[in-house]
Amino acid sequence: MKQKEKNMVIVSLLVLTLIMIVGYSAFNANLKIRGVARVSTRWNVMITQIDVNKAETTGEGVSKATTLGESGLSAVFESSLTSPGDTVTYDVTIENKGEIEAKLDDMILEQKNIGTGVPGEKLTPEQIASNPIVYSYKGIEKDDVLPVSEQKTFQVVVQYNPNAHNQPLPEQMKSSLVMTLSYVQNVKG
Amino acid sequence: MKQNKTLLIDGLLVIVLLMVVGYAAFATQLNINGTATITSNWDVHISSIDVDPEGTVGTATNDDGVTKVNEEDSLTANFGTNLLSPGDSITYKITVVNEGTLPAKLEKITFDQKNTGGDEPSENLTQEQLLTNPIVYTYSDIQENDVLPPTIGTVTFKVTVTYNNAIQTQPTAQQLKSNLTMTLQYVENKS
Repeated sequence: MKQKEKNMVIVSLLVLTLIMIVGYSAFNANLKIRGVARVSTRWNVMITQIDVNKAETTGEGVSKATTLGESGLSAVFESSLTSPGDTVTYDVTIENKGEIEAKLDDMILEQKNIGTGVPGEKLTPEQIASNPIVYSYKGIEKDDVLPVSEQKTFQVVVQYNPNAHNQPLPEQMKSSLVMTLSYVQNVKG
Repeated sequence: MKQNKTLLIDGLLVIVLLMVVGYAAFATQLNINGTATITSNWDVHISSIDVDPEGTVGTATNDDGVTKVNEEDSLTANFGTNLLSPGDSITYKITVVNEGTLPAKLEKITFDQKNTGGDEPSENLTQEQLLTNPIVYTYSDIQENDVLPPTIGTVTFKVTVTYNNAIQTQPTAQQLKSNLTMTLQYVENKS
């Protein structure tokens, strides 16, 4: 076979191979779906203030300290009571600093006597009624709605039970309260 | 004798001539010429992406400026979503068509999600991380080995983006934005 014809055969084979390569490559398609989602709202319900309400503090009840937690998720107070009937009232303010309306979904109060340094069992409502130290609250209830940018101030009252006639037991000399407010997004409808 | 020699020479010459001609004739070159033409057309692409009107929950909104099929090659579709409250979700309907002449098969689906808010994007989120991630992507109505017949093959599937209803605290900066890359690898169906 002459060189010229050989060259033609080689070129033809090369062209055919190239067509086959192109054809194989085109039969494999990758489709891409790309999504971007953003959360554009903030949830931020917090305690902004806790103060003694001097007007409603009675007898020799004294507030020794109030502390607001750094993240605004907790507040602490410490009171001193002298005689039956003494009260100390605290104004606690909650603010919705986020962008979503909130609702008070649940409220739990847990009181324990800790006079001996070892916490007792959680007091039942019946036990609380006769306990020397009694905690109560007012101005807030379950399902209260807290709209965006609004505040809610309620009161926590600690009282030396006016019905106490005897010296309290050692464990009753000191009593702790943990009040938990569970706020959730207020879903309407 | 002289005449015979002449005849012999002539005869030999003829024979040689015949042999030359014959040899020349036996060396004729045969040519086979062929032409190959590709008559098929491979064309699998995304034809549309739209919000499913029945798939929007809560206050989620679609970013119209982002949600569309890439006009240049139709191999990519993008969407953008804004979520406000836990429980919000939007569902997108995406249509893939086979307008070629070869049957296609969905060989592989990859579904990668990363949190991209803040300064540093995350790695691809694991299944465990997705359970508690504020933004969650899911898909439905499509699976590997689905076949798209030639010319008329169409599949519409859904991608849903949800603000996780189990979230109770404000997401971190990184979690405030999350990206999805879903890849559908189609190949020729030869079965």
